[in-house]
Amino acid sequence: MFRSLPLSRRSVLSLAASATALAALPAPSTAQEAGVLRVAAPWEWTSNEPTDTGYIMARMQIAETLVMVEPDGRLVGGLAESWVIGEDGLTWRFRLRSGVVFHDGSPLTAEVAAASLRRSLAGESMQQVPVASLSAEGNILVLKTKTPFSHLPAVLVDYASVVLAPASYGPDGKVAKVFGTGPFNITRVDGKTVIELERFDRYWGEKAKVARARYTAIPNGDTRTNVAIAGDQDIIFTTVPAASPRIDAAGQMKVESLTIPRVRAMAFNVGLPQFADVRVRRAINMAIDRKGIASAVLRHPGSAATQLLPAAVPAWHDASLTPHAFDAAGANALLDQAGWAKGADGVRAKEGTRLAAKVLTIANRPELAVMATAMQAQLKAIGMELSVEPGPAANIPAAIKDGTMQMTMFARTYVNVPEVIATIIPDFTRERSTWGTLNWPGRDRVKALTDEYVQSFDENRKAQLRKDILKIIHEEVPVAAISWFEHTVAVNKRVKGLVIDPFETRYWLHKVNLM
Amino acid sequence: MTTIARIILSRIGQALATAAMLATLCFAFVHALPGDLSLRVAAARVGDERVTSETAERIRREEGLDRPLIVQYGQWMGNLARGDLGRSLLSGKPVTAELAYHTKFTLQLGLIGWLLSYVLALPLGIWAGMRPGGAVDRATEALAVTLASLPAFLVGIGLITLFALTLRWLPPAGFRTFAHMVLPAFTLALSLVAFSIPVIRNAVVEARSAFFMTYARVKGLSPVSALRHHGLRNAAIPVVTFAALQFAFVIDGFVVIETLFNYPGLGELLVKALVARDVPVIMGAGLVIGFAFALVSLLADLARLWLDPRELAEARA
Repeated sequence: MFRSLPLSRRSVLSLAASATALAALPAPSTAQEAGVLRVAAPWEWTSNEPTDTGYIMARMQIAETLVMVEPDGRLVGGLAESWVIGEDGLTWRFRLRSGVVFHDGSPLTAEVAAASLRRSLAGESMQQVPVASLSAEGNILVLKTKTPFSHLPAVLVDYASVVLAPASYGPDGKVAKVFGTGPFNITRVDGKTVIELERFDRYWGEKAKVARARYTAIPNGDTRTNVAIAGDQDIIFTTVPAASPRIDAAGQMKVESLTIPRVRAMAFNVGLPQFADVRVRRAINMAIDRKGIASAVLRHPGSAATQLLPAAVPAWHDASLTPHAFDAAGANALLDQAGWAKGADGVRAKEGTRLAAKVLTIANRPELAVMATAMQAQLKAIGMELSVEPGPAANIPAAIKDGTMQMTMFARTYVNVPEVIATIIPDFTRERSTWGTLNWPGRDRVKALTDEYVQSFDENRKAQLRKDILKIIHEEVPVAAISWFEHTVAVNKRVKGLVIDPFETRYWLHKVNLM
Repeated sequence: MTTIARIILSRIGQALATAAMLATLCFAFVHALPGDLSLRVAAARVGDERVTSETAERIRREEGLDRPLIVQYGQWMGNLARGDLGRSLLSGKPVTAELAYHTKFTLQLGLIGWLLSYVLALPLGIWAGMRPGGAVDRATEALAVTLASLPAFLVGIGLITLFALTLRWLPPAGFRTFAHMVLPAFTLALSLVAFSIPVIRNAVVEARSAFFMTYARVKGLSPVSALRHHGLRNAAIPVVTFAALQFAFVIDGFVVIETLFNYPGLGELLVKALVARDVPVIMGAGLVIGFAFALVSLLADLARLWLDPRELAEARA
């Protein structure tokens, strides 16, 4: 069969040997595309489901929720123009905005919104809403709850509740194509990495200034840094904080940063004999040099946490609380007082229990392991032995669930829903929290307060309840914040009008103009 | 049936069996890993922070992960017999679509990088082999040792720093245009060159010292002419085997380069699938990579038979 081949062996070999000339490949330049707003962020478009990637739909303003949040934390009308709660404290009526059309041209009606919302209630994000019924009356969506649920509008900001057109769903009930109502509609999706968007000219609100936009997922932090230094995107969300000086120095993009209600924290299994005494937890809390960690590990001294949440969420930040402060001598004195005496190996012990623990941390947040290692050294100074075990993030909820958790070090946002209570409830009121403490007896007192909070419509009373909840957490230290997050955004020189939102529910791209 | 056809058929049969075995091993290994599979899938789907045990339970139910492993495996094999690789637990898309998308990118970049590596390595290797111990030989050896000792990501970072960040000739990451391919292709090519230059050089040195080369020179051919007519073909035999092996390695992706350049290749898909415990994708990728590996090695054998008809004669006998 080889005989019939038209190639001679010699010609192939000669060609291979003399192919050097091919090496001179053309080198095209990296011209910016006029009129295309290029946005990059770490998250990939893994599926079309709002429960999975709804945050990309909401942030890129492809799909919208009934209620939205302003950067200052105020709730405003999204697809719902306004809402009222009935006398019974159970019946919510959301008046839908008129003249809203989906990207496929179909109109938004209360029936459509109710159907879309039913799907998101089946998902996990909105499971905590005690829904009794969901119906449509004209252009009003009526949602009845079984018990009073005062922060319902805040929960409806959650990205899982974005409203999609009926045509979005395939016969299997899964989203086949995303038709939202936002100022941008999808023209093409390239794998998990690139989403091409164009301005939706029939948008109900302020129309986008740019005609086209492109979302690119760049999961690797170093790659995002390189792209920022080269100025190869217009806006890059969540750049690596330590790279900010390099990005700024390159002169193509400038890094803007904002403290957000996202926390790097440690949590204890309070059921263990070494952590049951509140004095031990306080001593550990005092032994941690947050400012040192914030400047040496995070390169941002301002990010050292003084209490659970930063002032960026004024409602949940209590300036009257004594700030967490580094005091190794005080910590040692507290442990002496609690009866923990140093053994021959320098580790304290009491009644046969050593003051030791294994801290689980998240491998794909590399700063956490470094912070935990710094804490390991700091805690050694007070006679505590800490071993650090980085692993997949899912290890932490798994260890809480099966009760093997000793200590954890994790990152947590408290504004998945722009009302912090929605995160306080799963983290501080249950024996086994989702991302927080385990076996903490104080949970019952917090639960009494959160139950009242959820059912109360009296803003003054709620302000007091918030203070009480924060005080218990601050003083009993089931969880202690170590540092707050800086939301870092690299912005190209040609971008004008960008709004950086601490809630990160939308990127406000419709306001952006390219010079 | 000709000898060649027999060889091809039996080798394709072997390839299919190897691929199925590889996929089975993938299934066994993924399930042997510690940790709750549904929880991992849930975390990959809804995000680390939003995962709850309720989500994990829902996914376990919906995807049938609560069934006995033997049933899950049996169903997978049954579907495979119908050419259906199932759906990704992460994206819900058919595994064939996921694999086709990422394989396309890996083949594109892999082929360019691999060809580029031989465009660089062949002339250098042959030149070095012509004068063993000479200046060129020593220089290429130093180059090969240096490149071999540098991890691919370091080469990549070096190229990015020079051409993307300093000179600003090329984009630092991405995949949409030809310009995006240049730096990753060179990174890949340089990491392959490190190992192919010595192989080519040694093959040439060995061919040149053979008796038939002395004979060619004695009968009056110039060194270049003797090499061109008699040396290259003989030297090519080990080189072809090695090149095929290198290409086979390239097929299963080059995770580090893909991650650094944000390139949606097969390696990246596989690593993410492993992290997310996306069993259907892992098994599908095992199947495809195993089969492709066997196919490339078959092509290499055929190329060798073409270059060296003596082996074909042996096979016939």
